[in-house]
Amino acid sequence: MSTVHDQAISERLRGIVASVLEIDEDAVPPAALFYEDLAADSLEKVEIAARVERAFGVRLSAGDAVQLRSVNDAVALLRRKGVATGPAEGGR
Amino acid sequence: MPLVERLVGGHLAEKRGDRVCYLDADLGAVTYTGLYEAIRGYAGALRARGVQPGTRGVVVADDSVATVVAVLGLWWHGCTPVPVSHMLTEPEISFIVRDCAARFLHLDAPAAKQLALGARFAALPRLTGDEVRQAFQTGGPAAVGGGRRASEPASFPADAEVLVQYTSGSTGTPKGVRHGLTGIRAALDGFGSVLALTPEDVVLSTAKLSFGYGFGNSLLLPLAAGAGVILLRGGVDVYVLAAALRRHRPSVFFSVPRVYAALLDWTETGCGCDLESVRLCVSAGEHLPQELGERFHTTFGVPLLNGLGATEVVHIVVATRPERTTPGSLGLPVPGVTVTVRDAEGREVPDGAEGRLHVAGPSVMLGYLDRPESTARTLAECGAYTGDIAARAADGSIRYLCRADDLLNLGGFKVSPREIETAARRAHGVADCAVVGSVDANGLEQAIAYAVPSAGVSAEDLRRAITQALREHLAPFKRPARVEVLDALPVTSTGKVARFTLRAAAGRR
Repeated sequence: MSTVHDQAISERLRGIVASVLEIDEDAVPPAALFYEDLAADSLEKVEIAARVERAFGVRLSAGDAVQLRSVNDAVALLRRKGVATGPAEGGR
Repeated sequence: MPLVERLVGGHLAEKRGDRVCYLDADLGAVTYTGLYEAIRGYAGALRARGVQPGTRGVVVADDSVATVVAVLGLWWHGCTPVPVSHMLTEPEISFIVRDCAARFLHLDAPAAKQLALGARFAALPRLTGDEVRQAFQTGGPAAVGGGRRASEPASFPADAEVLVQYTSGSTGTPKGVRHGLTGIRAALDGFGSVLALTPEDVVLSTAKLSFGYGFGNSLLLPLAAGAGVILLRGGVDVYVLAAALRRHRPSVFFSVPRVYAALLDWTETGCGCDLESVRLCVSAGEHLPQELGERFHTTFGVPLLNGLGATEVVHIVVATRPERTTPGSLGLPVPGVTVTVRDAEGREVPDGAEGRLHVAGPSVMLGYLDRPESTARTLAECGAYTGDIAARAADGSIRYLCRADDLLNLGGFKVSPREIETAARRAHGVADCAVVGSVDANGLEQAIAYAVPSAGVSAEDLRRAITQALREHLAPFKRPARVEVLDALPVTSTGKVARFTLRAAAGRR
């Protein structure tokens, strides 16, 4: 279920990941795994999680953050957290 | 008794075969009986592939039961396992495969790396982690290796090489550390007796099997005791740890000061980290600053055993005791080990004086693989120099002071500054570059890269290019904490880079 809203969230997340890892957004495919494919280290992963919390105004438990393995995972996680059903999708 | 019998088979004879030895991300709980069956199958597959006993097999893998099966299967077959981190770059892994003259490969690496290694060493017989997992999942442990079970496990002579572990050299070229059977047994009898694990214990280690500390934590010590092990696959961050601690409730936790500092920082932001189930934490790999040890004790109230080890001596050889963990001290030599402090000529210095830490005892390595000069420098005075500067108090306890060589210790990984410089220089626009060690807010060593741009290259472009080059050419644990751009590097009166000036500058920030 990919919506326009998910698309926007995905773009924003790619921006966050690119900024933390100091790479181009083009180098962050939505399915790329932070550790395995993008060679992130544990501090960068923690920074990504913290910036996701700030950008979307959510609180992530350790269990949530463990599931934050790629941009796609993050979109799914934010949707479960209710972020994807914001005003842009009002009425649904 | 063959190693696999001491570590696994013996528990079956003691009627503990149905106890869980590993909790694996993909395979769930695996029992000692299951592990034994899988090892036997793996050894059968080695025989079927024509792998000759007495040769070396490189195991490129993250932590998983498949990795343990590969290591123990190689032992069963009479081969020497050479564990290698899947996080090393493909050229580094290829170097190691050639350097140790491997005759077999166990591959369990990220897809692109695995494909490249498979193509480069197409002539070598191999098995993959996926094959082991698939057999487990479809036919159970007995199906590993296609069901061609090996007969009796091989017996190694006491002076035989049974394990090669790679460690960083001062120029960045890795060196293979050769361990004998006697050394492995000595580690089990030495630090193993201090730790005193029981079959009731469940251990969790953030150090991976591909490094000396992790190999002892997650394979040698717990298996010898019949204990259980939680294996973490993938990157280990505070979230992964907090979730694993809560879910699996280990009784003994092995980690490095850097991770203890991260857990403390995270817990102090109000996120709960539950060490309730843990009876003992072990810290080794890098120096544990006294303040950090005290902060840990205040926050978590769990004994933190402080140890010092080296790949060259298998595992921890100096340690505080679980019942008496004095912050700031490294404690005493473990049973079977004699520790002295010596001067540049190899003479013992009086108690209280600084000098080179020297370890004697049966856990000392056989030598470096094909590096006679390095071996002669390290193995002297009937023991090994660990490369640490230390002092011994009148009560025999050891205090760590610093490294004796140029190697940086980044979270337990020894890294040569020259290796980082070489990777940084691959970026476009680097006129000059120097990497030095500095100390972070927790008192832990970190690397800082200083670079000078070529004409016409902006500072920001250079910093970004270097960051990218480091990500591409260095394993994550070798990367510096910061990259800073300067107009010029400070030099000494003889024209060499003034590293001490850079270190001082790094420390001021």
